[in-house]
Amino acid sequence: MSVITNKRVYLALFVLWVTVWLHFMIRDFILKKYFKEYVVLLARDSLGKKSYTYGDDFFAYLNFCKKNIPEQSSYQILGIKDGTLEASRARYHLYPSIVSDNPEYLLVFNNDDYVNPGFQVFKKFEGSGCILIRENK
Amino acid sequence: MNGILSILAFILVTTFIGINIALFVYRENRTNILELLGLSYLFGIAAITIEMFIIGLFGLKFTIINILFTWIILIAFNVITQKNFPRLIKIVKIRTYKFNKLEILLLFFLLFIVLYTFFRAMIKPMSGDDSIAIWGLKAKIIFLANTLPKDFFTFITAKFPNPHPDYPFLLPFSEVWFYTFMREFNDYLVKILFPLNFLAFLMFFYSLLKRSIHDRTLSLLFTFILASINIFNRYATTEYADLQMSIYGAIAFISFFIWAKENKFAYLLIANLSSIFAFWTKNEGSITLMAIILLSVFYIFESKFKNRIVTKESVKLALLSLFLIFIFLGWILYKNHARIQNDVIYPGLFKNLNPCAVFSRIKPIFYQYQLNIFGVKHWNLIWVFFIYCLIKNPKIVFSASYKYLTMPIFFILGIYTCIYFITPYDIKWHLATSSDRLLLHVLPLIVFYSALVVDNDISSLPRRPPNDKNNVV
Repeated sequence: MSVITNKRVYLALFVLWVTVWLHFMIRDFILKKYFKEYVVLLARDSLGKKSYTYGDDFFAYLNFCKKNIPEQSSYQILGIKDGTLEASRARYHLYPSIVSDNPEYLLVFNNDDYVNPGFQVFKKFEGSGCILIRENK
Repeated sequence: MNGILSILAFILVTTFIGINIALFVYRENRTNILELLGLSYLFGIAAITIEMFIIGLFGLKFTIINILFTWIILIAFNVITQKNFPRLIKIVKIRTYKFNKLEILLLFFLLFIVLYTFFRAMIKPMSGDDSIAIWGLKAKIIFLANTLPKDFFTFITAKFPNPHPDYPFLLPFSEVWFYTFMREFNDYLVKILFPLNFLAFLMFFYSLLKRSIHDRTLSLLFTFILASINIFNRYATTEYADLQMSIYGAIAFISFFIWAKENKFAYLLIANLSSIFAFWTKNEGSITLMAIILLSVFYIFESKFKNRIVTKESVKLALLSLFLIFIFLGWILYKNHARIQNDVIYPGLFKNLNPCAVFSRIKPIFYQYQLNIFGVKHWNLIWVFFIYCLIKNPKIVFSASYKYLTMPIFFILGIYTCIYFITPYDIKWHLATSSDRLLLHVLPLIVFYSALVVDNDISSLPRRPPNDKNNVV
């Protein structure tokens, strides 16, 4: 192929490249609802953005726990599955308090009626959930 | 407003440390402002993280003064060794340009991509799984302890599920350095680190490509191509270490290529330093480090074979390779001392390996590779184009200095494929969760190589001046 033909082929490839790039960017923007999400996020401050990402109820509950249990406490969290993204977020957000098999606190999310022998209700969450504390503490 | 000023101060201080490293590396070699600034930021932040790890090992507190104090020696060295004018001015070339229409369009696209990447990174706080469960968590623990806690590895292994204690520390310490500088734990603003790496690398990539092919339009075009690849800019908005891994690996190999071509010692130093930073970013960086050592050994043997004497370059390469081996062994010894091991490659792995099961993995591995190669949504057409470049010009693939780009690409892809054959995890899960990230590690190299091939194809005509209307690719 001559150099000029090569240049034409590459120019055509460049046009194809830009088309593919724009197609997927615009498609994601509309179909994946990025645009809607950006509008919501832009209206919020940094805490609000975190709340939106974590889920508003869950984030409010985590903040409620962080405010009410002393730093470096041991806890177990109930109401979210172990090994999920929510569990990772809870561990990360609540650190320096850490998960323990023999916890001082039971953090119960999305359940008001949870009972565990040896624990008593410590704080009630305005949404659905509570914090239980070990009875002899 | 305070946040923005603090971020600007953070960038300036980090880049200033990097500029001092760059001055030491470049010495009398001339460079341009984009290359210098891009490299300075990337080397500055990486060097600071290594320094923080070392002072953390001695139990020193992470204060801004403690961290910056160490760099006074290097800064003093640069101040003392400069003559008449600041050396920075001597080594930097600043020019004014007239751009043609295609270049203006490419610059507009690049500006859009960079701004949109910053926007996407900063619109959401740190929230991904690995980013909080591995990298962010380690950064939070270290920042709150204000040093590297003595029982750090035991603690995270005992108290957290899959914290991957063996992962190197560049990313967590980058975050700790950011928090220390901001004097607060702010896992929202810290996300600026990721698009900053992206921007700094694009500046460096463009400069080195321009240096190699001497064609501004084509350099801008391939910088745009790299920046516009969905997976490349997406990893600049999430909080994973793979973009950094890709960046430091690319700097290492591209600089080695430039050194092999131009024989400027500065680029050999950059290649070696960057391979250390890649090694410090992810476990896969050990393959980058090994590849640089092997390339050096290859160069020494090739040179001995051609010249029948041991050249000065060979001696320098041998010494630098020994230094890399020393770094590699040092980290391995430290990991053994701390009793941490990798979850994929560990002693005894081969005992549990079933050879039949290994062969049965061929199909899923190649199926996943073809998904990526033709996955235009994530990769646009780059893999197809790269394969086209390999087939179109098979003679140059391992010729002259080109081989210093292609050999690492094949070496890294080969090692990654071998790892998939022996992984103890379910192969389909392992491929689905990691193959795109591993391919990302060689992406800048394949874009760079493709640019060289295109340049080779179209450069046999005499070049027209940049302001000529017909000067389009």
